[in-house]
Parts: sequence; C-alpha cells; structure tokens
Amino acid sequence: MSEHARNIAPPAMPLGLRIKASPEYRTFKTQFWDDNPLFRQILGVCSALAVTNLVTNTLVMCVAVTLVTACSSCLYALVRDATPPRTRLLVQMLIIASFVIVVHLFLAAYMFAVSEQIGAYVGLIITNCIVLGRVEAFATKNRPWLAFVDGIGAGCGYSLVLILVSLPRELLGFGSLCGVAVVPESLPRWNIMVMAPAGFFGLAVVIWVCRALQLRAQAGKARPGGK
Amino acid sequence: MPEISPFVILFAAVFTNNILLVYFLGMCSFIAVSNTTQTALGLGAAVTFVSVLTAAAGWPVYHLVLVPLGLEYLQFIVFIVLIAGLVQFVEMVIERKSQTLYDNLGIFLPLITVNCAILGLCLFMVNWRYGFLQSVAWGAGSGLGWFVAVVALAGLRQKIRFSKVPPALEGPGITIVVAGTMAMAFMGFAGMVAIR
Amino acid sequence: MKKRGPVYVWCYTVGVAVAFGLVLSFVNQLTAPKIKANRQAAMCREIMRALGYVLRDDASSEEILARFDAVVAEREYAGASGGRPLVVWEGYEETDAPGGGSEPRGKVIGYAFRVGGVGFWGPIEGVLALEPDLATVRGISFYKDEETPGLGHEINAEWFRNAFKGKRVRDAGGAVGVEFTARGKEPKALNEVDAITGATETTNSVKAFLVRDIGAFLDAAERRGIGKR
Repeated sequence: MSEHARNIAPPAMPLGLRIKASPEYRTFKTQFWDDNPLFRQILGVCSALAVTNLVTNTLVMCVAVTLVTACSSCLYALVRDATPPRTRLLVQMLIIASFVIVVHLFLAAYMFAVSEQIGAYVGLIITNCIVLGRVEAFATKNRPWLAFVDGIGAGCGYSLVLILVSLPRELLGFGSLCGVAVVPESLPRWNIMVMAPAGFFGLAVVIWVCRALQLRAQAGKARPGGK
Repeated sequence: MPEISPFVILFAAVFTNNILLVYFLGMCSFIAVSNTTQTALGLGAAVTFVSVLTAAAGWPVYHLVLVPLGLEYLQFIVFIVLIAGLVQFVEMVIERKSQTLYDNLGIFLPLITVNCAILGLCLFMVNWRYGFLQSVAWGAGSGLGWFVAVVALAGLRQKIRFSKVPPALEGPGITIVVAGTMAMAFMGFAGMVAIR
Repeated sequence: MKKRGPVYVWCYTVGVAVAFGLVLSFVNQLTAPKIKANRQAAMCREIMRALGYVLRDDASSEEILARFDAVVAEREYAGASGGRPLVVWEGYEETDAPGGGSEPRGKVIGYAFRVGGVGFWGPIEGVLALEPDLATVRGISFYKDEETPGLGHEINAEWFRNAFKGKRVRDAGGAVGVEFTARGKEPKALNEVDAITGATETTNSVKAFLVRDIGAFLDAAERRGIGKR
C-alpha cells in the first residue's frame, strides 16, 4: 500500500448505520421480526394462548421467557466446548430447567398472586420450543454474548406478539388494563375474549397482520426498480 | 385425593378437559404435524403411548421419592428427564418393530420430549393430587384427547386445501383459526363431569 | 474437538448435575419460607375478609399473618361420624392489647369456616363467616373458582359478596340454605340473595354446597357448643 493511501482515513460511518451493521443488531432483528419465533417459526404457542387473558400475566411471562432463553443460550455457549457430544441434549435441558425453576421460585416468593395464576405455564417454559430451539440452533455455534443477544431477540419477538394479543383480550373481556379499570361500566364486557377460543383467534389475527406486513415488504423489494 | 373414578377422568380428559383445546398444551407439534392424517395418526398414537408410560412412571417417582425427601421443587427436572428417557425407549422399540413407521415419524419422535402436553399432564396430576390409577387414567385420557384433536384438525386441514385462504393467513394462521373454532365446540362439553 | 473418554463423560455429567443441584437447593432455601408465608397469608386474607376485617390491598404476607395471629383463633373439631375435622376460625374484636403468641381475647365477632364444592368448570372454594348468633351471615369470600368470567366468576365480585351480608342462613320454615332469586325481585325474604343472571349452573352448585357446608357447621355447633361462650 502506498504511503499516500495509508494516510487517508476511511470516511466515518454515521452511528445509525454502524449500529445496523453490527452483528448484535442483526442477530436481534432476525429473531425479533424476520424470523419471529411465534409468527414465523410457530414456536411457543401454548403459553401464547394460555396467559394472554391478562396483560400483567402476559408481561410476567414475557420477561420470564426472555430471561430464560437469553441466560440458557449464554450459559450453554459458555460450556459447550467442555460438553461431550453424547450429553449435549441432557446438559441443555438441565440448564433450561434450572433457570425455569429459579424463575418459578422467585415468582412464587415475590409475585404470589401472579404465580398462582400462571405458575403451571411458567414451569412449561422448559418445553417451550423457543428456548430449546435457540439453544440448539444458535448457542451451539456462536459466542456467548451473541447467544445472549439472540435469546433477548427471540424473547422480545415472543413478547411483541403476546402483548399484541393480550391488550384487546383484557380490554374487551375485563374492561381493564393491568388490573386498572379503563372501560366504563356501561359498556358490556365481551366475555368470550378471556376464554380459550379468543386466544386462538387473537393469535391468528396477529399472525395475519405481521405476516401480511412481511409479505408486502418482500414484494416491495422484489419488484423491479423497487428499493 | 379426590374421590373420582378413573373412568370418569379418562372420559373427561378426552372431551371436557381436553389437554389441547382446553389447556392449550401440545400446540407446536399439533400445528406442525396436522397437515396429513397419516402423520397425525402415527404421532398421536406415539404421544398416547408416551403419556401413559409417563403418568405411570411419574406418579411413583414424585410421591415415593421426591415428596419423602422434600425435593418437590426439582419436579420439573425429574419429569423432563423421565420423559426424555421414555421417548428414547419408545424410539428404540418403534425402530425395532416397524422401520416404515420410524421413517414416517422421522424428527417428530424425539420432539415428543418437548411436547408441553406430556410435561403439563404430569404437573396437573401432581397439583390435583391424583392417586396412581387416577394418574394413569389421566395420562391415557390426555394422550387420547390430544390424538383425537390432532386427527380431527388434520382432517379439516385437508379440506382447507381447496379453499381460498388469504396469503398471509396460509399455513399456521388458518390452522389456529380452525383450532379456535374446535375449542369453541369443545366448550359445549363443559359441566358434564367434574374431575377435581 | 478432542475425543474424550467415558470417564470424562461420566465425571462431567455428574459434576454438572451436582452443580445445578446445589444452586437450585440454595435458591429453594432462600425462597421456601417466603413462599410458605405467601400461601398461608393468601388463606388468612380470605378468612379475615369474610369475617369483615379491613385489609390493605398491598399488605405484605408478614403483616397479614401477624394480624391474623392477633385477632383470629383457629379451632379444630372432630368431624361428624368420623368425617374430616371441621376447622372453625373465631374472629375477635380488635383491641390494643399486646399480641404476640397469646390467644386472642375479648368479644367474638364471628365464626368462619370453609365452604366449597364442584362448580361448573371446576372446583369452587370459599370461606363463610357467621355472626355470633350463628344465624346471620357476616361475610363470604369465594377465592378460588374457574367459572366463566363475567358470569359464574362474578361470585368473586364485590357486589355478590356484599349481598350476603346480613342474610339469614335458614328460611322461614327453618331449613338450612340460602336461596338465590332473580335480580330485582323485591322484597327479598331474609335468606334470599340476588342470583347472577346467566350463571344458572354456577348458582346451583353454590347453593348446593352452601346447604351442605352450613348444615355441617350448624350440626357441629350444636354438638360442640360453638358460639355458646
């Protein structure tokens, strides 16, 4: 390289672009939107239906799933080199189950009322396909920090869908938001919204909307001369 | 222990307290597997088999080992390891008995381990303080209930193939709508029997 | 990845299991007393609510348990003909007397006992409190149910619970039970309560187990002399 070229510094990238190019952002965005665990991969549906009749329960569940996914992925990425291949699945399940137990115990100790309502489904995070899916697919091949970010992304993608489903369910079914009554008494409550079928229909609608947005964006890119 | 006949529990687990349509457990494989009735039948049978074994093995492990030692908080780990072991065992049996079935089921067999329905039914049988026979009936009934729901859904999905579904709703979206309608239908069974 | 012998596999597996076991056992030790207190406090809160004590919504488990110990005494009586023992909670007047360990003393303001049975969707559990005359309802609390929200689940609502206050537990003919009649049907007999429109099954279940449980309590009261202090 000539003396001249070495002295010219490359133009600095604006901060926004730098963030967008970073592996952390790309990992997060893939899990959060492009490959969203709920509406793209259809994983973790069970809890999405069961806990979304109350926004408070939903928020607690979202935080629990995000934490468990991120921490399990990170921890597994840290120990995977020492883990013999035959015990891989066992170690993964042990890690996930342990985090879930810790979350479950903390919930029962410090948020008892919520724990009474969603306790069983918190335990079922162990079999939540999102957690095992991310650990198996990502943490086995990437470094711990990125695995952590991937877990956060998957958890946030899951949370996005759950919150979108639970808001109308609690508003229309109970007339409240996080337990605070917001809809006036005179408006009748739509009771089916807090029962089983509305969970299915609500989730289907959110999947429909998100998928339609994704397809439209894809079509826009594919059009000749499109961005 | 509630005084309910195991046969009542078996019946209720299939219809009025269907593990999939009332408790929402086992949805992931439900949506993934229900596109042909053949795979649905095969997987449903496998799940039923594993459920019965899990309930039959899980009850003594919980009540005769964990409780006396005060280790109830480890139930999640113990159950999931038990389920993983049983699925491994069932896989070996199927591979030996019928290679075609084994090939057809493919990846779905090990996925039974993470079927929330099986872990869920263990947690319920513990919470509801069932006796041994009641637990086995509950396990068998839950497996059968899952089987019935998944085969019914597979049948419906085969018909949907000839309908005009909006592109964004194709696949999982419309499956969930159909499942929701099935859930509404099953609500009609409410109040018939009590299992707690 | 270098090939590792079976010894390593075993050691690793056992090591990991032990490590996680220790961590979980530690967390369990940390949280077990709090969880136990939470569970007990949840029940105590319902008993005190039925007896009519005013509780802050955000009271901590420790506060609830402390208050419960100070004003409520739990008594167990042998069940009728070898059945399950009857547990009765006697609520006492709140005084400024020092608490801590000793039995509550003073005037009894109510007797509470468990009521419950099979509802429409699942089991219903509650606590009913009677005035010292053992004939009038002091309060009721349905704390666990799986009934239809907006319909059967309204048994947990403020208006339904308040409707029970002051009602008699026997009808004009002396038979035990609370009657549920249509809303708006006035005047109501002394043992009639507004039913929940559209929740027939739940209402019938509640009526059935109230008759059974109140009857059992009144029988035991006769035999053991509860309320005749």
